[in-house]
Amino acid sequence: MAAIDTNTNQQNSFKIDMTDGVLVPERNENTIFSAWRISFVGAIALLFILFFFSESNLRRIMVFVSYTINQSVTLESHNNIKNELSVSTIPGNVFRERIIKPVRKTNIQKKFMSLYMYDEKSDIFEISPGLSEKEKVFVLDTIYSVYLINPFAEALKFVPDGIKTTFIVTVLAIFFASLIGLLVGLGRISRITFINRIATIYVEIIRGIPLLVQLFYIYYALAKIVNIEGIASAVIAMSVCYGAYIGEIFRAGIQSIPKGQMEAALALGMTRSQAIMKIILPQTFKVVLPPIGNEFIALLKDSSLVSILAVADLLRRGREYASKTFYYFETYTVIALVYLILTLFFSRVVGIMEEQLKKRG
Amino acid sequence: MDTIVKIENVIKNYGQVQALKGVSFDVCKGEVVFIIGTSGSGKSTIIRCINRLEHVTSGTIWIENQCVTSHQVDVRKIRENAGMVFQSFNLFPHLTVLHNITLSPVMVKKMPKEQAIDNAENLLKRVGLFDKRDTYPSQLSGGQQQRVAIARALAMSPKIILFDEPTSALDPEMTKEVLTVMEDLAQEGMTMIVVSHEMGFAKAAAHKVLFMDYGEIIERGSPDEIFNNPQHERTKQFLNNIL
Repeated sequence: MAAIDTNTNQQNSFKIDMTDGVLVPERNENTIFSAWRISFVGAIALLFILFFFSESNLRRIMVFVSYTINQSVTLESHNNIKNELSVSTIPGNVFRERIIKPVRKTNIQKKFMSLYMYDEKSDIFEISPGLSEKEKVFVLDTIYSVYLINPFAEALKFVPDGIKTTFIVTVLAIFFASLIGLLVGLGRISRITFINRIATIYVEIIRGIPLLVQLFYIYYALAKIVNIEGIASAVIAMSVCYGAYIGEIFRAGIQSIPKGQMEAALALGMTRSQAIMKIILPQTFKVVLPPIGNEFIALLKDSSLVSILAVADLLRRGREYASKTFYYFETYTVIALVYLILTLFFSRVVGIMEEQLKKRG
Repeated sequence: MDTIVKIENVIKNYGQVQALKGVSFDVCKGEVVFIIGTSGSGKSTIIRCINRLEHVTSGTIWIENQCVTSHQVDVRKIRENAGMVFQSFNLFPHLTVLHNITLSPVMVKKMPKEQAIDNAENLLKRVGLFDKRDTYPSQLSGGQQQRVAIARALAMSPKIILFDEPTSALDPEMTKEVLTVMEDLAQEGMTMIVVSHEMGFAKAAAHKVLFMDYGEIIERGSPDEIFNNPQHERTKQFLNNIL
């Protein structure tokens, strides 16, 4: 039998278009899907390349230095090192950023300063002549520790730890935000004026205050009344904030179900709440799944804001790491790539969910 | 014959707009009543008032001895007694055909599940769709969907069924299969109030025809009287336009 009729459209194909998260790639949307594929594969490949193949322009020298150190420094090798270091120019800015600054932060500064010569005009770095072997090892060791390692690979070390916290905050916030969102959505369509007002006012207030301010408010301002620990206050702020947005999606979803569905249920003798539970909500979940999935991705991204509280998420761990090592470029490159890979991965998961829903009609 | 539905001087206002301006009529047990009229004449509104999908502004409606329009009445009891079939079918798209039919008897009437399924299967046989019991509404044609919707309404064993333009969304072939089912129902003695423009069907099955215009019943009578010998100028004009 032909499954064609005038009302299929009315009953089955609803899609709320909201893209405050990311573009959701579906296989049949060519431009978005190929853009997604290029960025996803590109991001992973770039991270991979940086991890295994990156070296600073001084790396070659440092490999030599480390070789020398491992051989234990002799008078003979000292000359070699000296030659190598003074002949190869170390760019001044790199030198200042990578060696002088980190060392200044420690109490070995003075000692270290006396051990090298740095000519700013010609921008050449040279180890002071006549150092003892112990002193030479110290200088080389310092340079080695700052340089020899692959800074991108180093920067990746804080990632697993930071991601764990980011995930905990995100997952808990998604759970509570969905719960709040469902209640708010139902409240927004409630016929009981009091409940309706409360839900609407909640949405109005929360959506009118930036998430960052809400985070500060719960963590710092409310500390006057109750002291909420970092992760807990992060989860509370994110759930309360996203609950309002997800609530609006639920409301739109419920209202997108044709009025006839509720009428048919009522005409069959169901109460309004029975009709909502058995008829309206099951259809609503199908409609709202894609935009809510999108909202989850936005939430994952916004979870980086909690790094301003005492929550050791990905971004905060990165900041700590960078301020210790001065690998700002490397650290933030890695952080950006990790977030990008996460969001692209989840946007595809949402895309697959949408495809499945469409297949089932 | 016993009067089963009694409608007295029903007025319905939507804000400033008066949709019904004092409508009164009776329906006897086993009677098929047709309501015709242009769109906006209030014919859908009046049958939606009967199962209280709309609440009247004033006037009274009785189904047997229950007063539909009273504030104390249990609305759900009324709706169990007055089934409804919609223009857009309104099947529940997330449930199978069988589940569409059994849901309400089990949930509202607390009927045991096996009994509800038995009952539903019999109804599906009656509308000729037993083999579609496990499909979803979107896989059915419009005519098939409307037949399932009729079976769904029958599953609550209502005393009357209200048809709100049941064939307006269907092509002629599908219309025929739905009308056949409705004709069978009429012959079995089901009380029906039908809003429709299927004049052929009205001539064959209706006992009474009401012509509505601007929220009032301006002419009523047997199909023969209304279609062949209309008295009112508006009725003549309307019938000329659609026949």
